[in-house]
Amino acid sequence: MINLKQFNELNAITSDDVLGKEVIDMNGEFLGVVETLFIHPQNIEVIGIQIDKGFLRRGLLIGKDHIEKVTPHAVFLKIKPAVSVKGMKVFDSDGKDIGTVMGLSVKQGTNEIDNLAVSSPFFKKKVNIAGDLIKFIGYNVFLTDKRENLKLPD
Amino acid sequence: MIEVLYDKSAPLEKTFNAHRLLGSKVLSPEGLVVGRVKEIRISPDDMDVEGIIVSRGWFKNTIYIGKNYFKKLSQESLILSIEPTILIEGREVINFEGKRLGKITRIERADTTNAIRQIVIKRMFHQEVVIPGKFIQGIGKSVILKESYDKPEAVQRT
Repeated sequence: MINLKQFNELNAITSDDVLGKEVIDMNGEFLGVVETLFIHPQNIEVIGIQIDKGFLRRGLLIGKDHIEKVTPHAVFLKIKPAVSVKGMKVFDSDGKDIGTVMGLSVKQGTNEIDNLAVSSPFFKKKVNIAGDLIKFIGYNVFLTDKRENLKLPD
Repeated sequence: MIEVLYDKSAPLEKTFNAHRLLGSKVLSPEGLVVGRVKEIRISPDDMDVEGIIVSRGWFKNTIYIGKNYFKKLSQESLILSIEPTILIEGREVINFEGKRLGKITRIERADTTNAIRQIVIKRMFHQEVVIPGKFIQGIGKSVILKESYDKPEAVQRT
């Protein structure tokens, strides 16, 4: 048995310390607030959290491995969630505008992007861009090469 | 058909028409659209490109950016090697515990460089606070301060 003094020495936190806290990604972006804390029913370990991103916006599930720390004011993540790329512009390696990210898919169970659905006035329909063509994601997305070398449709 | 006449300069095929750069995008390394090239500035002494003037749209100051902050130049865009710190005005500042401290109202740089000497932040119903640049841990969508900032001696009020 553990007594209260030992809990305090461990600096243990409770669900009250997590629920309702703002969630901040590694880029300092405020993602929302912690709505739900998920606990494994057998081993009673924290599995992850669900983030409430606001009115009419879909929630976001984050596994505990992506959580860096819980502080008195916020929950910090180690990552920038892949879904953040929605709405970002996509540039080739020369900075040429390719389009805007309309949707994406991630590799199952990871934060790694599998495909981006990109739309632009130049394409007749949305085009899929494979995740391995992404060089860098910051405020917008940079691809690994020039548009003509990536063989994207006209 | 172009007649070429050069000695130690780069050949024609290794250059591009600077006029085409006018109006093209200026991007930070993280893909932030800084503005568009308004002017290309050339030194009258050695005829080298020294920098560009970037137009940022209505009601925003234009910026002169020196060539030592250029990373890549193409006919499509100019990609910088820095995230211009003058653009962080208005961003939220948070301490290492995620507490919101206020928004940046003013940035003071080290002379004309991109290095931040200090920032001034303001929160509603609070006085402005000056934060030396050495307490900045990271700059992204928000500015995150180092743990050392929460020591009382670090706080300066304006």
